[in-house]
Amino acid sequence: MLELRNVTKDFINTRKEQVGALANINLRINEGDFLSIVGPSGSGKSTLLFIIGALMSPSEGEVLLRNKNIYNTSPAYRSKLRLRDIGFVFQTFNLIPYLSALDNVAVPAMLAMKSKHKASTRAKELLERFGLGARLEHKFSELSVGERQRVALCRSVINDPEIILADEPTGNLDPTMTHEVMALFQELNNSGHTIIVVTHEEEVAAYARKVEHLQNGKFSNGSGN
Amino acid sequence: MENSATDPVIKDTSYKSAPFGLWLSWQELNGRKVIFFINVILIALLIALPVSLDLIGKARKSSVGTRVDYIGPSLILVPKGILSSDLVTAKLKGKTFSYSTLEVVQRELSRFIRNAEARLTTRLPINNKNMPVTGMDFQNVYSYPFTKYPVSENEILLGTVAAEKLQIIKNDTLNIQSMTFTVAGIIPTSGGIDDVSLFISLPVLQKLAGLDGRINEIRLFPESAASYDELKLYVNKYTDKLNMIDAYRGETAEKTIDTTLFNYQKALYAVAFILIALCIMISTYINLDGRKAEVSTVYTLGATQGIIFQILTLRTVWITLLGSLIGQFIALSVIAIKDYGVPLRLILSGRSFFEVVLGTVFLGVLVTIPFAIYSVYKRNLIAHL
Repeated sequence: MLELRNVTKDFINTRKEQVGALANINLRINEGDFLSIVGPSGSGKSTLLFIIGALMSPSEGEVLLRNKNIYNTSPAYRSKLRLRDIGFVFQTFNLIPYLSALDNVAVPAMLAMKSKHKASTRAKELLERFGLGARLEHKFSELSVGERQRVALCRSVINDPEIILADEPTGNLDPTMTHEVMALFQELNNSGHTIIVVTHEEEVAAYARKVEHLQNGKFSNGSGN
Repeated sequence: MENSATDPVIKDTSYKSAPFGLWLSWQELNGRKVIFFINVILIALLIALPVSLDLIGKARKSSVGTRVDYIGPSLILVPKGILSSDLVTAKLKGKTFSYSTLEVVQRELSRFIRNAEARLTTRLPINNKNMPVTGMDFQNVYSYPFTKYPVSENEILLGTVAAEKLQIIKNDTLNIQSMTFTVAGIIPTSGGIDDVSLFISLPVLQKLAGLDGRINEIRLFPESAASYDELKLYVNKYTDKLNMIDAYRGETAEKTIDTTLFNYQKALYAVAFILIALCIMISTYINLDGRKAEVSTVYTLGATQGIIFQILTLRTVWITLLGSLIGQFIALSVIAIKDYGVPLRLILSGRSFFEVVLGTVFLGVLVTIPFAIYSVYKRNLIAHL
């Protein structure tokens, strides 16, 4: 379903020097996979996730989704792709602070042209399913850390995307919360979503069916297959 | 490349965003109430000043143009031999005519006039001063500002100069011959004879002056400018016992107004416009600095750059829209509370009111959008997405 071919990413730093973040990455992800990409800080995990998520174009190589290079398309096309086919979960949750939990979850559905009523109904269902039925109207600041991440998870799946990308989703959680959140990822994977999690924690990576190790912008096994 | 109708990955749906942009920008403003409030009030105050002056100016101008009755009548009928110079100095030489003339005039001229008002003006000694006193039928008075004072038989109104001269204020008492009057009000200055006059009920003055059933002025309020011209012709042709004086009170009032702040209406609009634009730009700049993470999040969730742009600029529409409406409410409140010499009903009626109100909202919103767009563009936030 998703394939990275010889993906390389270089950045120019403030001293105008070229710095390599990813080098010749090859990766194939099939429908229904649950993949963890593990590596230390600065290994290129987040860059790789952004490239997979149609947020950052590679310096070289191709990212194919259903055999179509997503970086040969317009920015508007990639926005639609992120809206309908990819869900995102971040370490810092990235919830909109002035919106309630319900509205935060409803945002992607509203962007996808669902009416406010339909979007809210679907958001409510998800929040109740994820144990947040009593926190619908709570704002970001009124939610616990674990609740924030569950809200972010609900938001990532509201448009029923095929792929969910998670960048250090448990980075701010205690062990109990970490288990709860990773169990939810497993549940989502069991219901058909393809999950890609990047993390620096081996214990978190262990929840996935497949694990790849990234070091200095390269997979430790040489490719990623 | 982009063809969502045939692409298997992208479901085919239309991708409109304005309702979402409006909704999210409103939520943002609601979530940051203090900043929202400051922004709206700033815009409201900047709009209120020129709008209030414009409304008053327009109302005055329009009423002068159509000779509406708030400023005064267009024609005054006086006894033969009385000239306008006599009228403005309140020296009517003891000449009078019967009150019944008013009824005849009302009947004969009903086609041309909306109202007719009888007066008797004479001079009486008050506190050893020979002062002009006008008797008016306060139940049937049409001249502004007398419409505001339902004066009874024991009450008196004074012009500002007369009040100073007699050193009395509202609610004081004043003796004229055998009668004691309570001061019901001091009428605003008009720059004319009214400033030095006293005003009491017509029957009371007739009694005090020994002129029962007599008057020496009938003020005519034409229906329109057209009826005014017809009226002049008609009165000229048929009246041989009375003199007709063109009041020109409207033009006089307009000249007085033109020497005041109203001259600077356009300059005030320009200053307000510049300040509003600055306010919007500063507000947008500050707002964008605090919303980088949020903008990135919404973009990651699938918003296009166009939608992000809308979200960031539509907040300006909300601020300006609400600011304009509240500003106009403030303007009208100020006009209602403070007496500018124009009745509120006149300001609230007519085309000029809608022109000012709708025009301000429409222009306020439209004109500020480019400044908001410029600020968003200049901040370079979207280009980095």
